[in-house]
Amino acid sequence: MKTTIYLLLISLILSSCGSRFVVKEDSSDLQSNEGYLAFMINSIDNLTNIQLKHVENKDKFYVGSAYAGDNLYLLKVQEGEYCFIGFNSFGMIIDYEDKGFCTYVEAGELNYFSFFRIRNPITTSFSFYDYFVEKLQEQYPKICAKYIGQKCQS
Amino acid sequence: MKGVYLIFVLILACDASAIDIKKDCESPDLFFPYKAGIQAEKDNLIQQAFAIFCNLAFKGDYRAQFKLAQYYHQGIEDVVQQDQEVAYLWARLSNAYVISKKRTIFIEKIYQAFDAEKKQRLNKLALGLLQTIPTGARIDMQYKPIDYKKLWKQQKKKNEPKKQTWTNIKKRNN
Repeated sequence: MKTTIYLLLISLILSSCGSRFVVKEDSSDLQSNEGYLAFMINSIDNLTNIQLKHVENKDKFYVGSAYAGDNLYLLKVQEGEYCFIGFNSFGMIIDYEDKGFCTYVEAGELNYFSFFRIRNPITTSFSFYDYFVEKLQEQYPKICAKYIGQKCQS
Repeated sequence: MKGVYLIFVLILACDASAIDIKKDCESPDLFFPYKAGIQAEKDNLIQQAFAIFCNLAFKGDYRAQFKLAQYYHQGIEDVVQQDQEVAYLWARLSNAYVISKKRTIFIEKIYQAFDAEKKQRLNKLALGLLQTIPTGARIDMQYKPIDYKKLWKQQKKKNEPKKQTWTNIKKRNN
């Protein structure tokens, strides 16, 4: 019984560590030095350990996993430059060696990074902004209406 | 005629007083990430920030285009004169593809102040600009083009079975 409780606690702690920046509530507000970082990932295989890095304070963090198909991520982060540094997929560990895709997150804004199409061996980046707005409206309608406006009205 | 003049003014609008800033703004070979402009703003180097945003705006960074719109809307001493028409055109361009509520409100605010004739003329100019200056990009880093042939060769080499040239047998020291 005790072992089960300890295992449950550990798994709860581990699961929360991976996604501390992911926005869970649709109505969360930003602090003065915070911005939203949004991006989409498309893959034909499941991705795990998607890792980003905050360039200014060198903080590395995970944003969880992605199932095969289209996945939208919305993170609430401090202002600064963020880069993809790696993930696991196709049975491999993909390590960008700090040279992955990077973008600057402005405070008080919804910063749409890109739509990443992950294939073996190349990851390509597209805009597909309208599709992103569609997905954002489905998952975070209030944030969509607040930052994008008319396009989010269903 | 007025429309042609305004487009000409807009394209040369990033001409600032210092010779090296003009060179930075017009040069397509120099690379500045968007972050450099933000840092220049924070360090109160507004002339440099303006030059960086100008460089990025012509390359299609919608954030830099909106920054220029804000600069022209306010006017900055010794850097750029207040010009609501140019501000409106840059703002329209920045909001053409990546739409945001903030930019939409800004555009509507400036647009309301124009008379009917100006509105008509600026709308036509905005459509013309969309065809000449790109927008919708985020220029945060410089990408090198992928050499697919080289990549394919590297992948092929990785997948080749490696020939074992050594043995596991340790030699005894006699």
